[in-house]
Amino acid sequence: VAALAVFFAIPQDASADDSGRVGALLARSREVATQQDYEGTMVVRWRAGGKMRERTVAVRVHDGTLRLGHGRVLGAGDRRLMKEGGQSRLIWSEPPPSKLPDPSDKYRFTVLGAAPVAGRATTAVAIERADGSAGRERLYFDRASGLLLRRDQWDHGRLTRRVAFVRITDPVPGDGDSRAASRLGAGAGNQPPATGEAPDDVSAARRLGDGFELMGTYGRPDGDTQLYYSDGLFGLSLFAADGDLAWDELPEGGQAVEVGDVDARVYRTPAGSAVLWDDEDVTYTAVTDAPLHEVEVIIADLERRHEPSTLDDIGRFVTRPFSWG
Amino acid sequence: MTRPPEELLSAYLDGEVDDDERALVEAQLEESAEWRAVLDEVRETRDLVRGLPVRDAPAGFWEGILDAPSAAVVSLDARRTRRSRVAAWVAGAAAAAAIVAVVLVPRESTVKPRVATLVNSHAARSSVSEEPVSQLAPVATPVKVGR
Repeated sequence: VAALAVFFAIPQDASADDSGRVGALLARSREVATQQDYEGTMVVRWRAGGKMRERTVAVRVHDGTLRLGHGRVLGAGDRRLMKEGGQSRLIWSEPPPSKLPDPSDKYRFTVLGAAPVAGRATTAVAIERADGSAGRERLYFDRASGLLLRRDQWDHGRLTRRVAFVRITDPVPGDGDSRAASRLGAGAGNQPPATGEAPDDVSAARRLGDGFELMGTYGRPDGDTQLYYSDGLFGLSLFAADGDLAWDELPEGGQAVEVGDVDARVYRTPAGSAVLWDDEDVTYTAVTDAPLHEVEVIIADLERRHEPSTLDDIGRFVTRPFSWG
Repeated sequence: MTRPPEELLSAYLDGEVDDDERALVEAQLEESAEWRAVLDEVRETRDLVRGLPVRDAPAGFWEGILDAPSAAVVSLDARRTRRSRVAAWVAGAAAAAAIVAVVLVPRESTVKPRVATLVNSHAARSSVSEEPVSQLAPVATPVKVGR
């Protein structure tokens, strides 16, 4: 309630649609995040099991290298290293696509008045669905540096996630990204990355759900496929594995939900929701920070695509899990 | 509090304990940070090994296994016994990684998604396109699923 009260108390100082200005703020925040040197502390809060949970994360960016959690997560350029099982593992080294979808068709952007975050002046931005449905987002950009200092998400009037600096030093210009990425690669040793090119016979729907466009298909060493979609504001990874979901062996703590005729299990994590379900001998896991409503639409979309209307559809469907193209 | 028997925690993770053992483990987990820490270690080790790639056996591989000394056969079969379970996971993660990948983690008819690993992979991918700090900070401490 307090958070909502603070938000709605921020005076609006612009028109109802500031998509161009907000787009520039978003783009700049992505660029400058590792181009300046700073350190600080972030708090990650998320709702799970009816309670708000919280983590504190140390952040340090120096000469283009991002260190989070005292080195548990490292990033530079397109490379991401993460400690798993006691050792650093290269979990991403693929370049991103050149351009994200334009989110202005789906969302309405409003620049709000100034609101301090970690003692720094910010430009606060409100993002809502253009159709007025549930799900709101608030972003707070540092006025001096352009860094994204805080991100709040609401769903049906309740705060569901917050990622925010509670302390940060004055950002100063840092070294470039190119040398940092090569240094990070050297630290990964000779291990293969956890992701790579998708198998040749994987073809995926180019658009899914409500405005999510395919950004890339990737293969994982366990044989699973990862499809990454974006609607320009939220990302969604869809993983597929051959076989039925082992419902009885899932970890406790998930929430059973029904989406149409589909039974699914939802786990709330600090990075967003993970939704598991199976269909026709394929197990799917969707991971996203988007509101759950978006996943429901995607599941319904997948179900619709699975309904074979012609022999050709049947043939394509049984070939590979992602043969809906 | 004494260090918990890792084979019991491993069996607990696999759902292969009886009601009394489950009650014992859960009571100790409730009370003891050490038990919880060891449970995390066992889970991470197991997840690491299960994350190894599954590849088709090269030509002659199975013949080699069948011709191997009996000790090698025992170590492969031992995964079905609780007492050797942890040794199989840990040893497999290092020297016998290839054997573990091919033999101990076969394709299953049912799937148990490693949710925490998939969440990490999603966060990493998102952070390449999106603002990286806010995407990666949530996974900067190990993601716990189901607790």
